[in-house]
Amino acid sequence: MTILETITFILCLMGVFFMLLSSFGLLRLPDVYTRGHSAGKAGTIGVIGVLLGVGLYHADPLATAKMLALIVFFLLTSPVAAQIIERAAFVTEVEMLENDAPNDLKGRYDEHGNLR
Amino acid sequence: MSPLFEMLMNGLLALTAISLAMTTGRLLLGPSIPDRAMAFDLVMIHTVALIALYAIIVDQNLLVDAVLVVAVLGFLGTVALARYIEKGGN
Repeated sequence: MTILETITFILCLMGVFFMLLSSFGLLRLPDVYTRGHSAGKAGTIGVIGVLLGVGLYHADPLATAKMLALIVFFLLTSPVAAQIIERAAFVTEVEMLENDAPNDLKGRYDEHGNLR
Repeated sequence: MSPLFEMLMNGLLALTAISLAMTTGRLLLGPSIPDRAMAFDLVMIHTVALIALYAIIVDQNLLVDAVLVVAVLGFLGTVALARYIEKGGN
């Protein structure tokens, strides 16, 4: 293995490890609000690791530029997507864990999702 | 590409497929609709990683464009699902 292949493998291994952690958390965590943490943070870090490896391995500068643009896109949009889903879950009153205090937003949304 | 590197990359592809199967489990048995929407988001992220790893293995630059399209479609689908859940199907 050359040095480039070794670095690519290490980056992709870190990414795949975080993606495994993220899907394990999505499967095992108790309610929808805690699952949002694993889907929103660990999934983003995992796919960024894999994309860094791919962008490093391809010799074409255009492919590397596309991968860097995609990394910025994931950094911007993936936490936003997780937050939008959590907000929809809170507005439609999906139940959370027992003893999950403090819940400062309880009762402050009407049924259309607007703040009272 | 050395044979050892190709073997290791195939192993990473298999690990990503196992992770995708676990995410699909949450997609199938998630108790509420936001659970399923979140699992759908993670399924699209896994698809991006699978295509990116496959682009290394077969050494095709063209698959990079497919990765871009899948990423944008996954984000748009997640936002559309969240709006649909929040507005109650109107």
